Amino acid sequence: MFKFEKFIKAFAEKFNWIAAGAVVFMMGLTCLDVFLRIFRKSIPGTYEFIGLFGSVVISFSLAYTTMAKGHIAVEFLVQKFSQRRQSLTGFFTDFFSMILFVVVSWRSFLYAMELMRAGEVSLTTHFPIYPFVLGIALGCGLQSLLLFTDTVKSLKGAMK
Amino acid sequence: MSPTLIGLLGLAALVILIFSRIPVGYLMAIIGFAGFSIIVSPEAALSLMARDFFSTFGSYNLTVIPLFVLMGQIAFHSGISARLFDAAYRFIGHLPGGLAIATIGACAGFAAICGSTNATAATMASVTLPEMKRYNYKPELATGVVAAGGSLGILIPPSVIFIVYGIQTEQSIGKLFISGILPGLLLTFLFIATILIWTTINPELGPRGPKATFKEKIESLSGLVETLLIFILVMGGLFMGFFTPTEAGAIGALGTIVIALVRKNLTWEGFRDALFETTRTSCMIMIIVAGATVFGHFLAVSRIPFDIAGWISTLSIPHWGIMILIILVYFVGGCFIDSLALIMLTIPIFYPVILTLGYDPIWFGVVIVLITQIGVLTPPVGVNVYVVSGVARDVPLEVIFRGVMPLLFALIIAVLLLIPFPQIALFLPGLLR
Amino acid sequence: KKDKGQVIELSYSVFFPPTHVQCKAAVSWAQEIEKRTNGAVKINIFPGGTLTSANECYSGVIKGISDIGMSCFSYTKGRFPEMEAVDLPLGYRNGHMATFAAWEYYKAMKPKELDDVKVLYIHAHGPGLLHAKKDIKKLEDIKGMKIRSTGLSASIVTVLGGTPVAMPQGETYESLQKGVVDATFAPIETLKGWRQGEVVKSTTNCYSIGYTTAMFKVMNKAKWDALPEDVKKVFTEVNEEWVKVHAREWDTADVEGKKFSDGLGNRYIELDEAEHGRWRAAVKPVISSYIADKKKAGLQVQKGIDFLQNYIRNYKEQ
Ligand code: NA
Ligand code: NA
Repeated sequence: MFKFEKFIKAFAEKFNWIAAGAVVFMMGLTCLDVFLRIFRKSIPGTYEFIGLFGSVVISFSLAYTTMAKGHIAVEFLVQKFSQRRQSLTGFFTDFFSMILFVVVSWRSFLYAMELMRAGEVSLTTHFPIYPFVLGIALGCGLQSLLLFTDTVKSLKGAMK
Repeated sequence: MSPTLIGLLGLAALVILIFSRIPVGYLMAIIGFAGFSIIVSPEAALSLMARDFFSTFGSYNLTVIPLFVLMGQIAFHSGISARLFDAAYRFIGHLPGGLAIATIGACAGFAAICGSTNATAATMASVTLPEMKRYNYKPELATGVVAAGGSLGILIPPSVIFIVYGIQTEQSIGKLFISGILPGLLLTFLFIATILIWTTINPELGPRGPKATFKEKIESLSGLVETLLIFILVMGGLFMGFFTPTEAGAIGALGTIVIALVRKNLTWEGFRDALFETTRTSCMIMIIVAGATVFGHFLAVSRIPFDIAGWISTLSIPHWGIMILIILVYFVGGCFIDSLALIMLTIPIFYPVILTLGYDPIWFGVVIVLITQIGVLTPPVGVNVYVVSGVARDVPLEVIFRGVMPLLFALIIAVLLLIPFPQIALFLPGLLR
Repeated sequence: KKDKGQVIELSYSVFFPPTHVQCKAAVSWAQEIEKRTNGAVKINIFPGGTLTSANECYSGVIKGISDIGMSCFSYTKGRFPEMEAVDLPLGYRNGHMATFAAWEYYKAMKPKELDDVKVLYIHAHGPGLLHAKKDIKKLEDIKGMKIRSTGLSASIVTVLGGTPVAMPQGETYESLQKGVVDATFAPIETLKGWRQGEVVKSTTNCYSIGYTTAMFKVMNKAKWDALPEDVKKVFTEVNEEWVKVHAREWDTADVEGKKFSDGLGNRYIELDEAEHGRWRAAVKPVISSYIADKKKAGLQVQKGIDFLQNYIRNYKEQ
């Protein structure tokens, strides 16, 4: 289990590099487009790619953010619980969080397949949309695995 | 069970389960999903989730968040914000809460380039919180100020909510933008007054520094140069029409990187940390927004917003009574739903009422914006408080909520002043045409 | 009055903001259905994309997120390859013409891409025209102009010699004001609806290249099949009537938009016949590349284009 967790965490960090790359790409593309506009030129599709890469930033930083305890929760009540009861509540919240992301991952995959079959593309450059939805499926999938390790850990803590 | 009842149960579940230490965004998505399943169908709810996550993550308008946050992170990691605050400390550090006042000023300045309340709070939090900590300001004051300062982002133009309101009510967006300026300045002033009173009563919150000599003050001015350059670049570009407010985030981020590189202040490690903080903060905000979107769709199909708005519009009570009820709806609604969604759902019903009662539509727009800004600061879903908490990981959420309280009073006073003195909002747009 | 249990409740997602005339037309359609079915059907409207956003509206209807949905075909590029033909710059002169061209085209072609829903009706806005901060009197004036446009209108801007700049409609006002863009390409009603008349100086009536945006009103197939026959009959009757309502409202909106713009002292520039011919020739590549693209994908669309061009040629002013 420990090995599995380490493996997932290494992946989460690699994914986050993709997210960071997407931020730099969005910045560079926007600036280049604005710069070219001075010369009455533009990069077709800048607008749609900024939005689509925005989704890459979030999908691929999701697991890393969870790992860095970056998601916001109201903690003060549970903090007053005993260690065991904290683990028990932790088990339930981690479990339901995991289910949430399993569902989002699964349904994003189906949605991506629907978009692929329907042939939906971006408005200007006609770039396919579905890979970005697959990105969400992938990011949420990794997030589910990470939450699975958390669930197991809380369960162990609760059974102590 | 009627949809209304399911909606109310969903709201109750949110208020209770939020204390279970489950991330707020997840909880809203889960309850929204469950409620939508019951009211519509499980298949529809499953499809809804995938679509809501994609449309939030891939929203062009929300891309300002990662880019402005990156700008703030670079400013922090290259020491630009430290030099800015050292200069501010020389000038107003001897006042009680002087740096908190400087933070409000910085928020007001930043509001002129950023149209989003969340992006303003996130960016200013990463810039100002480490600096106030450095000068031993208590987290309560520091985080409260920066969370509340975000509301200036939406009041001072450019502003996302004014655009949506203007289109919905067919009011001039230009006039709405201008109408936000004086209330924005009034609010800035009220925030500063609040900080002064608060830190005078409780001086440990923001300890007073030594009074700097004239020479020290002049010398410290060099620390303002970089910030000034960035501000001129972004403000100038916006004003001259080189780019849109959404594009301003990218320009500001690149400009900050270039200035930091020229001054040789940015290391590779600093750049990497800035990027990682950016993805983490943006992800945290967007997960809350995605959850709120699912939850908002659940509330929409429960028809509670429509029912309440419809009920109020038929009441036969005095004008001011209806006005107070409407304000209450936005106040309470803002505690649960994203302000844009709330405005979309309710304006069609309230707007004709407002016109019938003889209130000015531009004035009403300003009032709604102010009230929804109270909503982003109040529990359970006070998005700006969560945003600041995401940046200041060592500060418990309830400390931030406590720190926001005095500044909430300033917001409420601003609303109360606008009711007898609509000119505060209407004077400037009245000068047009 | 029917019992509560017997009432068929339907949700209806409309992407137009609630104050838009087309949203009001959707509301009046719903009220008419409720009235003529004696309350057997109740329709709850979710305006402004509060239930499904414009680009998710169609697939939301398939999945049952809403039972009925109204949005633009063009927001989900690639999903409706045959309906795309309607949006081409074929020279629609008004909203009535565009609406009925789209509706008749659908009825004649019955594109397979719409088989997974029940199409209630289709309508389309009046001609997309150029609204600029300085006068556009001939084709050459467009050269080097930055023009707000997305998707199809962006390709029209390109062949006319302008620089397409994409941005949300909500950002266009400020961008025109500050000069991020010099012009916008849209039906004249947007000058009032989005207040953009305040920040442009002129409209060029280039109707000869008038493009349109066709909009669908579709219903979940299972929900439709489950309706009693008498209710289906009411729907069919009201739908036919409401195509006219939407068409009329598009034209009224354009008249209102022009009035609003005129009231602000903006100019309205007419082109002479020779100039119209040059514009028409300039946008030909947009139409031929559509035909070629679809051919590559194995679709024959020439017949559809001919249908639309014939419709426009033989159209009688109402
Ligand atoms: Na602003
Ligand atoms: Na709130």
